[in-house]
Amino acid sequence: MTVDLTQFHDAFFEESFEALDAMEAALLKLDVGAPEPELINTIFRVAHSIKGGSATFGFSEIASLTHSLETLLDELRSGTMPVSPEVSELLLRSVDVLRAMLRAVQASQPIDAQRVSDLQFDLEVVIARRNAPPPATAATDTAATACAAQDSSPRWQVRFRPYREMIARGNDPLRLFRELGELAEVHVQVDAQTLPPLEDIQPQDCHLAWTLEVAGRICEQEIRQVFDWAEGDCELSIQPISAEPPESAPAPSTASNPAPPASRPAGAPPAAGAAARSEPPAKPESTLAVLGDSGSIRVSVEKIDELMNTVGELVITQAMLSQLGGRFDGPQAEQLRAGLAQLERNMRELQESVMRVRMLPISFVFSRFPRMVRDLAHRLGKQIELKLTGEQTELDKTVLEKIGDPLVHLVRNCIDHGIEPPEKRLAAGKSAAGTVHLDASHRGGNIAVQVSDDGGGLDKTRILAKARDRGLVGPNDALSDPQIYELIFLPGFSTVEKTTDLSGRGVGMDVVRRNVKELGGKIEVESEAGRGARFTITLPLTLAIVDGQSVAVGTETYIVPLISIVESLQLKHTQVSRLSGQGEVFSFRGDYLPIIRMHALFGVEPRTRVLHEGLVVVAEGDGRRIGLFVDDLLGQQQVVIKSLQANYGHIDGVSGATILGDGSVALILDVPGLIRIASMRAAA
Amino acid sequence: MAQADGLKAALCALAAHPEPVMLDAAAVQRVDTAALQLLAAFIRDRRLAGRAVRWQAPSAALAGAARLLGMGPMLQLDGAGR
Repeated sequence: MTVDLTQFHDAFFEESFEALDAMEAALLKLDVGAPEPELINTIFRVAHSIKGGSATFGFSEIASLTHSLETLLDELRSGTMPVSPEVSELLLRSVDVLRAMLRAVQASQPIDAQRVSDLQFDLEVVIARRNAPPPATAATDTAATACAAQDSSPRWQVRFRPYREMIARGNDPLRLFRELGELAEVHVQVDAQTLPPLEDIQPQDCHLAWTLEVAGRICEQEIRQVFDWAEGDCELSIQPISAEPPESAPAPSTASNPAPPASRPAGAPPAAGAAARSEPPAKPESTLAVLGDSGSIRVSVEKIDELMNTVGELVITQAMLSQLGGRFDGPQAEQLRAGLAQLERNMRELQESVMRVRMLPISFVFSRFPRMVRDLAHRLGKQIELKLTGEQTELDKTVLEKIGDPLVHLVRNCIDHGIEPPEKRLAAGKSAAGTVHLDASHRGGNIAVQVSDDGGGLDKTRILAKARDRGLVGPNDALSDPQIYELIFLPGFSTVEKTTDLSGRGVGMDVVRRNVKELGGKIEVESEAGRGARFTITLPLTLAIVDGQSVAVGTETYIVPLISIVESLQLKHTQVSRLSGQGEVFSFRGDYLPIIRMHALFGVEPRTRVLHEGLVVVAEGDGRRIGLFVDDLLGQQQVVIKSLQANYGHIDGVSGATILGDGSVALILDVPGLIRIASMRAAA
Repeated sequence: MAQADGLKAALCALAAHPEPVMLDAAAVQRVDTAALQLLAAFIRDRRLAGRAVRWQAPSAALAGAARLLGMGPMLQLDGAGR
């Protein structure tokens, strides 16, 4: 008669990973020597909730490790052990190990037992060292004495009203009460007033509420910790029961019970009663009402995607109606158009609201860097200050998830290659500590993420020498600075002679660029010798909608993403030339760019085949430019991207499709893909 | 959860049974709040209709869980299994 718990594993893992992130952040803020109690409490709560969850789900190794961790944290919390650098390091290591353990369990892989037992051993050594003068005691004992000094009341009244879905979310009151029973003497009274008739009960709904009297050496916080795991799934109030019965004392008995009355009167448990009278009355201000809900709910991404899709369809239908409405005449036509205009406004608002649901602040990604920078600086013997700005800038969750790795690469590069060792910096007249700056901001419909450092900048001569070495650049080619910087994005390119385990294996910048490109963004680099380098990633806010320029080729319409357009122009005869083996090219600001005739590529009958009668859209991707020959430019609009891959299959040069207002389908062009096609043709 | 659904179905089938119902709970090894809640509703509904429910050798696990949840009296399990 048990609930199948596996269905909650996902939620457990997700919540645990988030909790570990919070714990890590708190640990990094923790000052050695003078820790803030609230931070330690945060860390403690994380360890406790993971312990509770893993015990519920039978992940005993995790539960056992978190138990040791809790013991140590208890010492820190009570102030009996100072926060030393050693302890702080140990706690950070625990975060890593716990994360690895959770990942292993999640993937049904074996846990790295050696690593875990090493850590557990170290934890126990530290705890034992502290406990050496008085013999080691169990965690709960030390907790009780630590609490007793603060606000322990001999008896507590706990009112616990689970929300209906609590059981369905894997929190069984039975387990909570059992845990509480291990800490103190507990008398339980159930309130079954709202229990519906049997046939109306949804078996997974909880219709019961409880009033508990807890007696023993236990403080409010310890009681609260027991219910921690159910936080957000219940109403909970904990009040001390003072010796003189306050006016609220009869409350438990008024919570009447349709079942035969409990055999024991609610007011006075015999065992604790006598002791209670000798204690001073408890502080009334510790009466805390409800564990407030955080004002947010967890929604699966699929549901949001579904919503998004439906809104996308609505946008198309609305565009269709608008177009249709324009053709009507007659007395009612004006009203119809006003209504359609209203619909369009509402549609846009709806679309924006739905998009906002998917948006998360970039701090979700930034938050991993303080730890990483700290560790790297430590290992490389560098002093590094990390500056984060614009953390509240929001972007689409999908984009957010994919931008993490590229940013990690960039930050690693800055620390490894960019920032010089302290002595070198001092010699150059800079401060010993280098600065790595991560910044995010909105720019139009895009988001710009910058990673900059105040290190030595990119070494032009070395990059160029390396490129010549590899035959990537001819021995006598003269390259401009930007062109040289572009070289670092080539696959297999690395200037570092000595390969560290951080970077220098030449799998870095090309992967970064590819990832950014997959998100429809671009990456640029600026550098100044001796002053540092700056990488700027420009990304669309969302992957579901693209700002596009629609172009006409014959009767077809194509969409070119605005982000890849440099400019559009009409060619003159004199600009065009034909190179043997390279096809048609045209001169553009001192460069020769290949021309792709869209009508030829897609097999469409164009309005004109004469280059100077149509238009050329200069588009950029992968650091290269091409000219797309089209009949005409139609207009700029936001289009909802429909995946071709999901509905049809991959086509080179096309990233997706959209449905236009008149119901026809337009292909969205993939400029980097088109450039690949152009270079393949040139090579053929 | 599936088991709780099954239990509900079984209890619903017995709810209107005119004879006193005997619940054989000797083999109960694990029990959760959802199940006890169903049993509580079942026993209460039958009592309100003037029909009896009796336990046949409730296991210690069942009685212990009922006690922890303060549901011993309403489940007529008080004093059992201590």
